[in-house]
Amino acid sequence: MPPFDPVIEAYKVDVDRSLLRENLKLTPQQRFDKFAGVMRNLMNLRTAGQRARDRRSERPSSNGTSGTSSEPES
Amino acid sequence: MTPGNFEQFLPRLSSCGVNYILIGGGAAIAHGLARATYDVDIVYDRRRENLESLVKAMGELNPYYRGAPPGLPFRFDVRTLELGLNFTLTCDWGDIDLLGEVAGDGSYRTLIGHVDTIELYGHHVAVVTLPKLIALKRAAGRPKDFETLAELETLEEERNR
Repeated sequence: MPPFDPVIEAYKVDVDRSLLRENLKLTPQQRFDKFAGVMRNLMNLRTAGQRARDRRSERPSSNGTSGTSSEPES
Repeated sequence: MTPGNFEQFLPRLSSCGVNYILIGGGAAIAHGLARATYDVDIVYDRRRENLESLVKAMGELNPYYRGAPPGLPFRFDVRTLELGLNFTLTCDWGDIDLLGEVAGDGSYRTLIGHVDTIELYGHHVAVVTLPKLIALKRAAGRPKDFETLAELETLEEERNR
């Protein structure tokens, strides 16, 4: 067992043990496949978020300026 | 930023006969941690024959120093590997850290006595054991690792239940 470290022990309180138990039921290859799937979804979400931000910045606002313009309104 | 590309790197290294040990986030995943990682970390054998295998495996992937400005005279060859030790690289397949040594007495020669051989992507891959991975993380002493360390130690507790 690693030596006791109160800082690490404090972090342990928030560890989701059910997630670890589920992972321990998988083979190492299945764990990597799961990782790849999760990361693929994360990247898709990130791409979708970026597209949404891009669209928002391209859309003209009601006063005719760009949505993210920092120009002061007259 | 792209996810750690274990699917391509590990079979390539193994099929080119590179002696390496998977450490870091990849090793954590292999042992059962559910955590995002964006690079592949390996400790490689520093013997010349292995450096040649490493160049064969990685040379065509356009490796370059991660985060460095473009245009540096970086050549990924045996001489460069001999002159350096730890290389944090980006290449056509994503990011990979080639480590000659890590904190906690972590050279290939010392770590090879602390590995589990695990079947991944059709190859036998040497993965640092969970207790040793914890020891390496502790030796690194980085605050950013505290959360991971807590998860790794909890994982070990769960495995030993």
